Amino acid sequence: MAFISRKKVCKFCENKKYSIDYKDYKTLRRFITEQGKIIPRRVTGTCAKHQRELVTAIKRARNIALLPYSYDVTQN
Amino acid sequence: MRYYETLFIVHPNYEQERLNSVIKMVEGHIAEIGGHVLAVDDWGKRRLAYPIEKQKSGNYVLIYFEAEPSAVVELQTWFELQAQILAQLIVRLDEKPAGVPSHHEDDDDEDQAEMTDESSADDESDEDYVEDEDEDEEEEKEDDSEETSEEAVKETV
Repeated sequence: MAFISRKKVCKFCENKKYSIDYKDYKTLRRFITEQGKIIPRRVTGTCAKHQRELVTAIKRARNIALLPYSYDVTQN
Repeated sequence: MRYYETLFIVHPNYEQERLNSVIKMVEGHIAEIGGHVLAVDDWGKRRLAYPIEKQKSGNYVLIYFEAEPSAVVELQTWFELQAQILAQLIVRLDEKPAGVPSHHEDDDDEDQAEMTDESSADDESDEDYVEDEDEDEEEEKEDDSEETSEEAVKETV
């Protein structure tokens, strides 16, 4: 009964036309947790190159208040 | 000359008229430092992901410009002194921006299908970027910011 893992494909490699941009917070939001943490690429399947760009973009978006540094989970 | 883009947040109490004068002022300053404004995109009032200077929303403005790297440092310093600008981010672009992407208010989640190339900004990892933290900024009130904006507008005129 072996666990068969589904092959994960980098979302940005799939859609070549798309470039990672800090202004596109709607897309970036898919790569952060409920608490606002950046999801590791072992979970999302993003390739190394795109994960690096993604991290930069998320950090920029946080700096300009498009994304939060953290959500207070206990509050809700 | 290099291409840059700056995204900054103007105080939410600034209504359209005064907001426009702030944008003019920023454009004027970019010209003053020897830069050249390529495009301006007013995103309008948006909720901030976290409060800045006790404000929960702000007017986002995106400006594409061309300038010398040394002048950008000056622009950064100048930005930080503006009380009516809550936060700003200047990012260097590798290529000339093709057009002005328009961002709209709708805040709902969209699918992968919506991931179209709406921005010209090529976010290469070797891009330099200047950022500010805005942490130790003085809490100035309305009247102060009004003064500064009026003064600066006069300067640019």
